Amino acid sequence: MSDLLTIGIILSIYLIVSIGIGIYGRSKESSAEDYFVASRKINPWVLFCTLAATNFSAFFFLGFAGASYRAGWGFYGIMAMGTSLVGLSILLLGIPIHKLGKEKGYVTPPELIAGETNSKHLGWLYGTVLVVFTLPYLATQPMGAGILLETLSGGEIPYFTGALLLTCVMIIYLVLGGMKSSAMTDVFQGILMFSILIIFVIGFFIHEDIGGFSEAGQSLWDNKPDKFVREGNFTWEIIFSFTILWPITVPMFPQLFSRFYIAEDDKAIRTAAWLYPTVVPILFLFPVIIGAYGNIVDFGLAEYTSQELCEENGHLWNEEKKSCEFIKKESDNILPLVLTEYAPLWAGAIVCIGAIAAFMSTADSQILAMSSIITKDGLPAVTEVKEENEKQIGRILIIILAIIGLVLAYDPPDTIFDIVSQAFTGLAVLFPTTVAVLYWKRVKANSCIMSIIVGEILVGWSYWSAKTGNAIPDWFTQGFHFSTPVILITILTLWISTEIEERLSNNASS
Amino acid sequence: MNKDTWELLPFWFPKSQNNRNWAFVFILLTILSIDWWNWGSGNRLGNWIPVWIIYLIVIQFVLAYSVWKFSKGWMKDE
Repeated sequence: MSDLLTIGIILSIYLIVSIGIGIYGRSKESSAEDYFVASRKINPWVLFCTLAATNFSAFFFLGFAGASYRAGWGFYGIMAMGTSLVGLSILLLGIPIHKLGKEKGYVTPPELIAGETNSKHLGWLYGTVLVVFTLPYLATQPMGAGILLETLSGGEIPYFTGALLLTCVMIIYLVLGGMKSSAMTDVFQGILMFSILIIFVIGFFIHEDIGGFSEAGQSLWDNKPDKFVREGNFTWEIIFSFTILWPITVPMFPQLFSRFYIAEDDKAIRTAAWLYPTVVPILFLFPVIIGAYGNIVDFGLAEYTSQELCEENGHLWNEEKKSCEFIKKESDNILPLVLTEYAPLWAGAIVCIGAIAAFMSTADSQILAMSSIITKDGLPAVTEVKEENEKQIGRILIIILAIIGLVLAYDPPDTIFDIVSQAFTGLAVLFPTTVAVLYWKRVKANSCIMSIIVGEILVGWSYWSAKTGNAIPDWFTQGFHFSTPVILITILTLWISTEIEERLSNNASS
Repeated sequence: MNKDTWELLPFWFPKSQNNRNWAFVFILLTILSIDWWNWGSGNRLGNWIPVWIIYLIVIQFVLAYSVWKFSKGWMKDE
């Protein structure tokens, strides 16, 4: 059987099952609320699975492994504790969002923000930021799928064909079933991706060429001991920055925020909140292990003994070590590259299915969340949208957004990690506003608008600096990741501008 | 301090003693997760996994237990 046929059969089975679950799980009701928030009837375990599968994306499968290949075990420190703290955010934000959603019928994040502050302008700004910063993150999903299928098939399935194929399947079950289909396929895809990843990692270590955990550990220690330590790879300031960035930014993803509405009751959110930090510490080990131990795999780079030979073959020459290494973008391929070295094709294809499940479970939720924001908040600002047409408009937008994601993925400029860290800071700017709206009776829409604008100007400055090659000055970051001072400034702006606004209005009235 | 006075505090400040206690627990766990005293360590367990990873896993399980306890009472009566 040819390689392409083997991959084709395994991929087809997975895609058909996904579509089948999507169709089976879809709701029989026809209202827009049912389409976008599954009639708010999702039980605790499905809620937890859909939250986890939605959050663990191409970045989790390929980005983690790529970054761990470059920086070693230290990358676990960047991701794990912060993601565990997301459980706390789920509890603190999820319960009031769920209660307000049920009480007042909110379906999208901007609806809640605008409704609770009586400010359409704040709702539009909030929705615009959500869509603008989710689009680049969405593009990383077909990117991941394209990279994976191209590497696995040895180039027989071109990057863009793979991305296109999976996007089409996603559109089918989303258009048919909406949120309920998305949640049901998330359960299937989540269980599939984690069980496959765990089996693959164990299989990698017991492979005769690797010789077990201890032997692999010794080999890595002998050749690249720096992969075990954080010193030289990450400072504590950088790890601290990401530890606080994740619980702040993750609940601001529209696909996560929207899932707080779908819970059947607040008990479902409480359960998801403690389950999250219970599974993250173990699950996050696996892609990091593959990345770090990818350093003991011989990819043939040692053959390129001169700078000329190395660069001619598209790799990066390390002058200090006098060795040929993968360029940054190539290292995102480390998981499929390890697969092609150590697993038979059929097993490699099954692991790739696990990774594809991660991409699809995130991308479908992102597209559905953005479609609901545009349908419920964006379009009504420019034209009249009848309630009975909302579902149909949502479906058309799903197709348009999926195409935009594909276009952005066509020629990606950076690694998956670089793209998402920029998008994450842009979304983190919304966190102070969200907390203030949920918990602070003194909240003022103008202060929230001010805080968001100031934050996004700073994010724009960071983007511009990266593009022009000018580093953000040290006096601003003090050694921390750029997101830390940005978050601090947005909190202070919101707090101080509320005080000023109150005093001005008190003076005017007295 | 009455309810009106609490409203004058910044929006991120926990309003009850119980919530302040929990805030202390979560902030402490976050700080402890950054084991700067052990930053250059390459000690390994079973030859293959760094000891600092095991430490971080234990901190996360303590966090999971804390979230579970905290979730039982959070916003129950509101």
